[in-house]
Amino acid sequence: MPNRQYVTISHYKEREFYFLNHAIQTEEGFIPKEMEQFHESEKEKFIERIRLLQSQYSNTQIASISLSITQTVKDKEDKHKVSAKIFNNNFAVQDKMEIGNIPTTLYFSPFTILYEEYKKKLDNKLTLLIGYFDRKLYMMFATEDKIHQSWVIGTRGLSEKQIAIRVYKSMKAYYKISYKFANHIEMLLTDDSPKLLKVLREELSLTILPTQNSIHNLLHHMAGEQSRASSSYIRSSLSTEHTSIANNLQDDYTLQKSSEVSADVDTQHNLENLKLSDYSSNSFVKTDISFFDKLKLLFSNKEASRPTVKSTLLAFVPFLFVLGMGGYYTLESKKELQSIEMIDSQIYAQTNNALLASTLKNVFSSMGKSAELKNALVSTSKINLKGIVWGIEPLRESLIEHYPNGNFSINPLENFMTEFSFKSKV
Amino acid sequence: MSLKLNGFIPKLLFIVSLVLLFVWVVPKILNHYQNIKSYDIKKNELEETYRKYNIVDKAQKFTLEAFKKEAESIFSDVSLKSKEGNEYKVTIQVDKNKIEKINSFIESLSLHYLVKVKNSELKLEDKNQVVEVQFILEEL
Repeated sequence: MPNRQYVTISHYKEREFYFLNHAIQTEEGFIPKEMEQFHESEKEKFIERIRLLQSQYSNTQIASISLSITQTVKDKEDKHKVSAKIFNNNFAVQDKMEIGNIPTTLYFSPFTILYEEYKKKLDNKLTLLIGYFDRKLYMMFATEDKIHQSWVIGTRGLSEKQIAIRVYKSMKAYYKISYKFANHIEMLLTDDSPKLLKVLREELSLTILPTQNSIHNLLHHMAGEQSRASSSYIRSSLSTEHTSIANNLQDDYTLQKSSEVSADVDTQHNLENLKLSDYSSNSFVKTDISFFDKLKLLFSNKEASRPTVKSTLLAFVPFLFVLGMGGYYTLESKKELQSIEMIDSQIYAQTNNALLASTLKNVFSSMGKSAELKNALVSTSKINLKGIVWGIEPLRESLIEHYPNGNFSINPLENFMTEFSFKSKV
Repeated sequence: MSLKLNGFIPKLLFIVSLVLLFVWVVPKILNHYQNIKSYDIKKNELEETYRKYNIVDKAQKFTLEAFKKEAESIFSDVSLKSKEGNEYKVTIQVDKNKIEKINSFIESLSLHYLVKVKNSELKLEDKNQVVEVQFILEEL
C-alpha cells in the first residue's frame, strides 16, 4: 500500500453539522481537498456525497472519530464493548459504535490519535496529554510505557478559566491516587482557542506545548499508513458490518490479550471507585470525586444521560397515576355536588310549594260562606286579601285564628255591601 | 454518586406525587364518599315525598308544551309567557267552585317538573265566575 496512492475520506459530527473531507494519500504525505459541511437535516445528501467520492476513486477508506464522552482507557479489552488498541496493554474502550448508519471503515478514538501524536515525546516522566475536540477534554496521564489514567470532561458553556480549573482539578485528583504530579502538559487543539491556551498557561503555571490541527488532518494521518490504521481503529465484535472492510486490510494487527493485568489495576485507575486510606486527604479527595461526577453529569452526552431519562420516565408513572386519580375524583366530586345541589333545590321548592298551598287552603277556608275574594296576594311570607264580606265577625275570627297578628279592616260600600281587607305576615 | 445525582428528578417527582396524593387525592376520595352518602340521604327524603303524593314518575325538565298540556287537563284556561332567565309567567283560570284544585296543583308542582314558584307568591283575582291565578315559574 505505501507504494500506491489512495484516498481517505474523513468525516465527523460536531453539534448539528457533519464535516466531510477527503485527501489523496501520496508517498510524501496526504493532499487534503476542500472541507464540506452538511447540516444534520441533510444527512442523506451527506451520505450521497460519500458514496459519490467512493465511486470516483477506486481505492478509498472512510475514517471517522468517536467523540463519545463515555470512552476510557483500560488495561485490557472488554468483550462486551468496542475497543481500540493504543499500545502495549492499553485499550480505548467505549460502549458501542455511534456512527449512525454513515459509511465508515475506520473509526478512531481521540485517545489513539493523541497517543499517535505524542508517543515520541513520552518518557519516564508523567505527562498529561489533552485533546480538545468538540468542546470536550480527552485527557490521559501517560509515560512511555503506560497510560495510567484517562477521562473525558465536557466544557460546553464553561469559560476558559473554568476549563483551566477543571484541568488543574484533574491533575490534583490524579495525584491523590498515584502520588505523582504531571509537570508537563501536551495539548492537541482542533480549533482556534488562543485564549484557552493563554488562560491554561496562566492558571497552571506549567509548560504547555500546544499542537493545532484539524480532525480531518488527524484522521488522514491515522489512515495514511496501513499498519498504523489497522492497529488503531476501534474494533467491534458486535458490529461486523462497519469493520468488515477494515478487517480486510493487510497486516491487520491481532490484538493481544493481557492476562497479567490484575483487577486491582482497573480499580486503581478508575476515579469513580477511588477509595483512599490517606487520613489527611480523605475529605478532600471525596470532594474532588464528587466534583468530577458532577462534571460528568453536567456535560455528559445522551449516552450517559440515558439512565436518567429512563428513571425519569419511570418516575412519571406514579406521578401521572396520582394526577389521573386526583383529576378523576375532582371531576366526580364536581358532578356529585351538582347532583346534590339539584336535589336540594327540588326539596326546597317542594317544601315552599307545600307551605304556599297550605296558606292558600287557610285563606279559602276562612272565606267560607262569609266572604268572597276580589283579589289577593298570597305567599309563604305574607298575605294581602281584599273582597266582599257578608259575615264580618265569622270572617274576622277565622282569619285572626290563622293569623293572629293580621290587620283586618272593613269599608262600607254605596251598594249596601261591605268591603274587607286583611294584611298579615305568615 | 452518579446514580444519586441522576435520581434527583425521579426523587423530586416521587416526593411531588406523595404530596399530591395526601394533600389533594386522598381528601378528594374522602369527599367523594361523603358526597355519595349525602346524596343518598337526600334522595331517600325526596322519594319519601314522592310516595306521600303517590307520584311514580320522577320530575322532568320543564317544557312549555308538556306543562300547558297537563294544566289544561285540570283548569279551564291556561296561558304561558316566557320571560328572561328561564322564567315563565303562568296565568290560570279556575271555576270558583273548583278553587281547591289550585292547592293540589301547586303542592305537587315541583315533583312533576324541575321548577319552583318564584318568591312562593300567587296573585288571585276575581273574574266573575272564575278566579284568575297568576304566578311565575323559575327553572331549577
